[in-house]
Amino acid sequence: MVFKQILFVFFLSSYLFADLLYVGRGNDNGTLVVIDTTTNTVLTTIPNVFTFPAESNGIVFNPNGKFVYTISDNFFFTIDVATNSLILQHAGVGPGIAITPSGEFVCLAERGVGVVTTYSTKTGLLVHFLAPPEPPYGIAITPDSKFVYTTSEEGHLYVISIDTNTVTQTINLGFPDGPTGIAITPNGQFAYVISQNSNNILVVSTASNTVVATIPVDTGSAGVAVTPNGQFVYATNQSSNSVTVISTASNTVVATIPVGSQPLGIAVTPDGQFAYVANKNDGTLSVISTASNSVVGSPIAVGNNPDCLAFQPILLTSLTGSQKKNDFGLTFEFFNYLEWQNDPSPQISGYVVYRNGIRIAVLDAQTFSYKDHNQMQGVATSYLVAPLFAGAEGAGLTIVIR
Amino acid sequence: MKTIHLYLLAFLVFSVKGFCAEPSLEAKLGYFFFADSKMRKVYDEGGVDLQLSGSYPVWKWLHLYGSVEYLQRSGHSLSDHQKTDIWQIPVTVGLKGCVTICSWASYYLTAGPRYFYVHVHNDSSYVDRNLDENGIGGFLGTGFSFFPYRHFLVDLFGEYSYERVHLNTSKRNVETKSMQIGGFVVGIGLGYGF
Repeated sequence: MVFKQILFVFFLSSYLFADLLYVGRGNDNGTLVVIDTTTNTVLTTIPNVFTFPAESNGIVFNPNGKFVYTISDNFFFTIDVATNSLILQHAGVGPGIAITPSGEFVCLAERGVGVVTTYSTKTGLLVHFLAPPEPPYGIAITPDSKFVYTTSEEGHLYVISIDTNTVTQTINLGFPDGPTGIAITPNGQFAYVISQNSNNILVVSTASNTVVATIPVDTGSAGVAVTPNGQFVYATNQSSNSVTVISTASNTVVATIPVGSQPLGIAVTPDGQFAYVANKNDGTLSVISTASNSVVGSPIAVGNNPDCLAFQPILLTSLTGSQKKNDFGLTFEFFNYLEWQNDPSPQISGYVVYRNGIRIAVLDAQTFSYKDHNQMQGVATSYLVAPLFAGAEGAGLTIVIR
Repeated sequence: MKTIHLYLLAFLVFSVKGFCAEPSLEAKLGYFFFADSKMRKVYDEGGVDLQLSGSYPVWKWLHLYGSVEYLQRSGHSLSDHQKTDIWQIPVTVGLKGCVTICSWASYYLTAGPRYFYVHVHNDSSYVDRNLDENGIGGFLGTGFSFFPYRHFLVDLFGEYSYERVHLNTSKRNVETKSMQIGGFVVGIGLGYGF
């Protein structure tokens, strides 16, 4: 079975900003490739994330931007992005992986053992597991973190309550031949389910939990992603080497874009301007402009078998700073002024400011600037501003002021 | 040129009559602003100047002049906009030259050294909250005195002062600098000619 389920929880990144794209490569001990999307170049390669030959089946980022989770055929791994090192591994099989918008839980659709497992990202421990009537395959979580939607290759879609850890609804998708991938729109109203063999994408209303549309696409659907504004769905077709673009307003195909050989994973940039496609046979990424729905630039070579990809969420979109003179005329002092921006996120509860590695301030969520007074003129000082996200510090930005 | 100087001296000497020959005591109200542009930017509010001055004739048109003054300005620090206040008490002793223009008006010039005390209050925890200093400076003044009634005088005056001061601080990473905190005063006075 060469088909892979590539899942990305795109509604998470709709309010996040990212420069870095993490790409999982298969059959290569789980090598991850980090792409700088501002230049579309390989920034670094993290070899041998896995301790054995295995394919990356899926990859998701913690919304705090500090950890990335990837799953192989036998284990799922937690990687510290700051050091790009493996910090935790658990027995677990994919192919589905998703994370709650709060970053609190990672859910796995473990087809091989027929369960949906939920792990706490804080403790790394298994919180609970549930065996749906059929082995789960694809998985996605609603933006309100209340429900898990998981597909089965036998043609069903199961709705699982996260609170009660029970299957609350079973939806017959009407075709038994392999519904796989699934993505939920940012507003949480619809789930787009792909079927690798039936060459259809099904639209499921999450309100009624019924199929409301069936959209024919090219052959071999593999990966699916929704743009942050929820207006379009991008789905890869690995057998026809193309990407299908669907308007969510009309649920019709608006474009079919040729890409590289065997496109699998797909991810849309948080600003919605580009979609990145992993071409497994080519060992490249294709970049699609969502404005023109055409491939832009040359393919990005990333090495063998890229199959899944995810953007690193950056909760702060900018951090600027300068030294200023607090001048009273007869007396004065210098202060370093920091100012940052983020996309609105109700989950950011505050900010932490570090000076040269030492925490100097904890600020509320409505504060977007900080003045560090009584500093020496012209002396280089390093600052880190990190958001408080779901009770923990998320990935921040650094700046040196002199 | 020499002739002109002699005429001027003769005018000054012989025009002394009436109120120019009498002692006077005045209360003055003026508007003060700093001569230094940085100080004007920081202290851009207020500017009340209160004076009590007196003069006593010592020789013809020449008076001994003295005054006690209080002036205050407020403002905000540049860049961080923290409130600050400054007030001064200059004490002046100098000479006053007076020329009678007509029976109800005279013109005068004043000059001399001045002692001053300055107090700065900064509403900030990042610099010294209170700073004090004193020093010696100088002043130059001029004005017209009018006598609408016997013994009663109205004075329109202007004054320039030079007062350089350098405050001291003990706070870490806080600096001070020498500044000219004198400036200009224009105002009006009411007084009594004895």
